[in-house]
Amino acid sequence: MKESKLESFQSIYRRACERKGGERVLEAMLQAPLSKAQIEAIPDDRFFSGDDQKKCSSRASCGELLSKSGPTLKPYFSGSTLIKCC
Amino acid sequence: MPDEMLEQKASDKRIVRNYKKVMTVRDNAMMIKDVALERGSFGKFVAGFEKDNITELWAFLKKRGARLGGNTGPYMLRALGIDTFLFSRDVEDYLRKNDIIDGGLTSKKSLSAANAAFAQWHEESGRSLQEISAIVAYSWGTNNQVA
Repeated sequence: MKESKLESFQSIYRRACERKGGERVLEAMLQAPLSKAQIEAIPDDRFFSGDDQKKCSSRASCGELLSKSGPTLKPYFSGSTLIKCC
Repeated sequence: MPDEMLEQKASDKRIVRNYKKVMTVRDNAMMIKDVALERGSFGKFVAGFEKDNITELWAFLKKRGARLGGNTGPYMLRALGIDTFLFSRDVEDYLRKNDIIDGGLTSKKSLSAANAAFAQWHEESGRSLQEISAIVAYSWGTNNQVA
């Protein structure tokens, strides 16, 4: 960080409240992330799927790609954790 | 999945038309598999990152993943519900105008400085990086929704 005084969170929060129409409105706009336990419980294929959605959002997710491509792709994933992706 | 098959799929107009994007599917799947074999699951690996080093996870995704650099990796994490701040336009503008970062947005120096600022705000407020990121954006600039 450069030599600058970091604005306090409270100050940032107050400004956000003013700009968004009050604390209740602002709080309603916020979303909480998953807990560590929930993250640990995410199956590997969910990560794969999340990545797919980002990568292939222009056309189709890669989960969709795999399902549309038929059974021919599936053998390549057998025997690994990636089988879950298919 | 052999290259030949990937090429075939990339030209299939019914599904996706970007060869490079299709290629990343295999590469990123391999990354996830490798980490899972090493750590038990990719989720356990991701959960091991704390508020003050979340940009190290970004760096990992950039280095080991395919096309997961820049904002792509962090946005993917956010889409999955993993706690991270984002360099949205408003957040970036705030950080620059307040001299927290300068130069390249994804340089090691900028990532480290931004992460330190968010970790400090987390210490002050007890809030998640995701919430802080949104609050910073809502307090600044044009208030783009994704923050």
